[in-house]
Amino acid sequence: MPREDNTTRIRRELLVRLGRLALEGTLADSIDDVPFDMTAEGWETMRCCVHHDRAILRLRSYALLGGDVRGMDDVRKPLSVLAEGFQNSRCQDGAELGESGRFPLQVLGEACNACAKSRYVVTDACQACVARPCKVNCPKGAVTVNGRSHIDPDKCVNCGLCEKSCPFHAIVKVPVPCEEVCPTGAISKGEDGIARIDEAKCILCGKCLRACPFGAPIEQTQYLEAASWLREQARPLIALVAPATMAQFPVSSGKFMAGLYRLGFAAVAEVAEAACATAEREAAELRERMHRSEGFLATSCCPSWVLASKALGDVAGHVLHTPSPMAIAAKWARKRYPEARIVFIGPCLAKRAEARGFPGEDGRKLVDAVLSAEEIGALFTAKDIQLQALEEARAVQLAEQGSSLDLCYGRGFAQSGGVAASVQSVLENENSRIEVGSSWTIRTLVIQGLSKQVLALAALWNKQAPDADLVEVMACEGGCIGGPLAIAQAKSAAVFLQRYMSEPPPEAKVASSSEAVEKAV
Amino acid sequence: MKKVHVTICAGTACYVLGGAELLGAIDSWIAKWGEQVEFEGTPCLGFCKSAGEAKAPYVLVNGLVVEHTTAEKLEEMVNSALLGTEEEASSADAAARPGNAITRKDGGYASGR
Repeated sequence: MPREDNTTRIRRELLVRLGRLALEGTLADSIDDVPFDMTAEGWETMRCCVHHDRAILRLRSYALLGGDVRGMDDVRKPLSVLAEGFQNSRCQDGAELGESGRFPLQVLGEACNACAKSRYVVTDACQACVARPCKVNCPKGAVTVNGRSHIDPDKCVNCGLCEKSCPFHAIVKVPVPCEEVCPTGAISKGEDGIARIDEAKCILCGKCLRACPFGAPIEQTQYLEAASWLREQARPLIALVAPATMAQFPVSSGKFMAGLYRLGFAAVAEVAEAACATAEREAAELRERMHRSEGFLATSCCPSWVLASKALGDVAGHVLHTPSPMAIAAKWARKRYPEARIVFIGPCLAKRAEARGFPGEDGRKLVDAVLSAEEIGALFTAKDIQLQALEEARAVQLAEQGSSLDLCYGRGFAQSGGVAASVQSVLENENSRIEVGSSWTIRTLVIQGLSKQVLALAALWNKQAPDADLVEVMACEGGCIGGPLAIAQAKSAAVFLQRYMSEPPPEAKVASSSEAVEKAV
Repeated sequence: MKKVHVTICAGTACYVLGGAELLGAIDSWIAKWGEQVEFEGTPCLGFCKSAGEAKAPYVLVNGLVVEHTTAEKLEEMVNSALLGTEEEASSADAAARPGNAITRKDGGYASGR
């Protein structure tokens, strides 16, 4: 779920400013001005001084240009020089496709606050009471009372019993926000106090990106690259829009897609179509593997969950092999538009890893770029596109044959429970076709929001299988609509998705409009 | 007592740069202020064109333009507007008070236009 605050606001404003330059083709001319323009009169200084703010903005721009924020080898060069090199090496036609190959999430050390170690602190609310439950309950004898309670940091083991037992709520936990939310312990402070990401452990859920109040975790994105493609139009660009992205703006999907056409995409397709295919294949795989008594099975469309399952021992073997809707849609798009560049648009961070982790059959990447919902919003703003004012546009259909499943189920993949509901619906359709007696039903379990606790629970499935045949897991609360790079608030996104799900599918629109024409004649 | 009228720009630039949070918070504000405050979402107010999106999202509180609006800033503005209207109301003719139930026009929010 997006957290609106200054770090989000600054990140988005920078995306808008750099996006505008990239769309105009003036990145190399003007990028060095951006940190100064942004901090002009009216800027509220965030760090020690405006110069520090500018330095961080400069580093963020450097990262958006593909600079390595860990090594910072070429950080001394003006941004304009880097922008020129970026244009030449990554954006021109014929240049090698694809991004730096770096992990999609990095920590901008300069922006990191090097927060003090997570600890319990006694506040002024302490009354040095007679009961002294903090002292009595401390298993390590770390608490002493001398006019007020004190915690000896050398003895304290962060168990939190003092906090829980204090009748005045005088003891608080001061967490390290990134470490607190990371479900796998992948982000942690080094000797110097600066946070680092263990790429082998990270599942790219993006929770730290949202939690850090200093905006230190940053994405490694293809934003400026894609913006340059949109400007140059050397090859047609195809947008694959995840259902969760359709639920990010306060307009109909038709207007949202019209915005994408206005940006310069040659065709816009709904990934929901491919989601229907995913549901059908999942149902088939489920049937086959249940037949072989392989026990419970877990969904495979959430890339964060797929990454997380790999650290859960045998549980990984229970994850379905069915490709995700993005993978299926990308394959269809590659076949139909072999010359085009394929851009997937979703609110997900982990899709960036999925996009590069599973190369297509022809050796090309699954998709050429992954843009976030936030980045698309920034491009609309950069190009002064008012979605409300546009005429409704339609999606192209990628699937060669129709699905037995209603498109609204595919659109529902964006929400927690949507995948399980789709698979159930496929089975119901099948049951209605086959003779009575051989029909079968499945029990489902739906899990949303991966946290330390949820993963600990999932690890127990090795010993005791969950009481379900199909376990749907989505790393984000509420499902993909609550993704880390979403724009809409969770409640709004749920409303927008309901509206999108009830919109007629593209072919039905044609039918109804031709009917209307006939009536009018 | 006069109502405070809040118009939130749901144009794309404002929406991306913080308006999404304001629109998402309307329900909680209705719960808090009830009929005293009337909310309206509107398609682009046009300020991003004249003053630039750096000061987005834009909101009108009783016709007064608020720039760079955050939920916190909006609450402050509404609270001070409420104090202002109470003073006015005590001196003005109480019979002139409009008795309409709260209306929440969705312009741009649900219908898209």
